Formats: sequence, structure tokens, C-alpha cells
Amino acid sequence: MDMNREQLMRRIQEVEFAVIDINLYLDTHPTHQQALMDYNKLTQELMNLKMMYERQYGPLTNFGYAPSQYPWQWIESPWPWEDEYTCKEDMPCGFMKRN
Amino acid sequence: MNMPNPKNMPKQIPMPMYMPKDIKLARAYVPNQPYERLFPLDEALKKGTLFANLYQPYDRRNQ
Repeated sequence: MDMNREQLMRRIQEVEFAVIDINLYLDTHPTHQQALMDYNKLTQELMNLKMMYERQYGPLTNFGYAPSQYPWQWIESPWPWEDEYTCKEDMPCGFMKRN
Repeated sequence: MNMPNPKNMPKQIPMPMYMPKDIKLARAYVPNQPYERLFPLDEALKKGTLFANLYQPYDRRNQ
């Protein structure tokens, strides 16, 4: 399923948030197998999503995680603060889409 | 013995009586969090937690 840049970024944020929360749960429940399986499944998905994003739109982190195409892409915008997104439902989520 | 509740004290926090008899005093206890009722990921991001059990937004209505 191909997603545009925003949807892909949004999906990365959702998956990463869940991975962090399960990480915190595992810190206090290290023997919980279901939690660990979920963590590994989501981490795999997160890595795939980030690879997909970076291949199309450039690196998410400026060093240590992904090679850059030519020319050096890190200085290309949009920077996170330049982009604004709207949540579809009424819940504001800190992003506003410029329409 | 029922502690007197001075007027300015907030209403007393109910003391659960089913504590084990030999429970040590002056210790803090955290009940075990079950791994259940996980939100769908989009909802979890908006609500700020993956676990419905931990979702406790401040409710302005009943102050």
C-alpha cells in the first residue's frame, strides 16, 4: 500500500510510539512473552517503514542510520517544523496542515 | 479505629482493607499492570498511552 509522505510519517510516529510504550512495559515485566513478541513485530515494522521513508524522502536522522543519495540530502527541506499536518478527527494533535 | 476527618482535610481516600496481614509498613506498593486492552496505534498516539488501563485524562467537569 503506498502512502504519501505525511501518511508514512504519521504511521512511523504511531508505530514508534507503541514501541516505546511496550519498551517501558517490558522494563518492568521482562519475562512477558506476548509483550516481547509484539515489541519485536512492531520494531520490525518500524524499521521497514523508516527504510521506505528514507529511500523516498531522505534520511530521518542526520548520521549513523541511513546512507544518503547524491547529492547530500540532509540539508533538503521540509524540516519537521516547516511541515504542518491536520488530524482528521476533531482531536488536535499538534499539527496543522497549510491548506 | 476510625481516624477523625478534620473539616479542611479532603474527603478521606478509601483505605482498601484487603491488604495482606503481614504487609510491611512504610513501603510503597504498585499493583502489577496486566498486558491487556491495548489501543489501536493511531488512537494510542492521540491518547498518549497504548494501555487503556493507564488512560486517565483530567476531567474538568467534576472538579
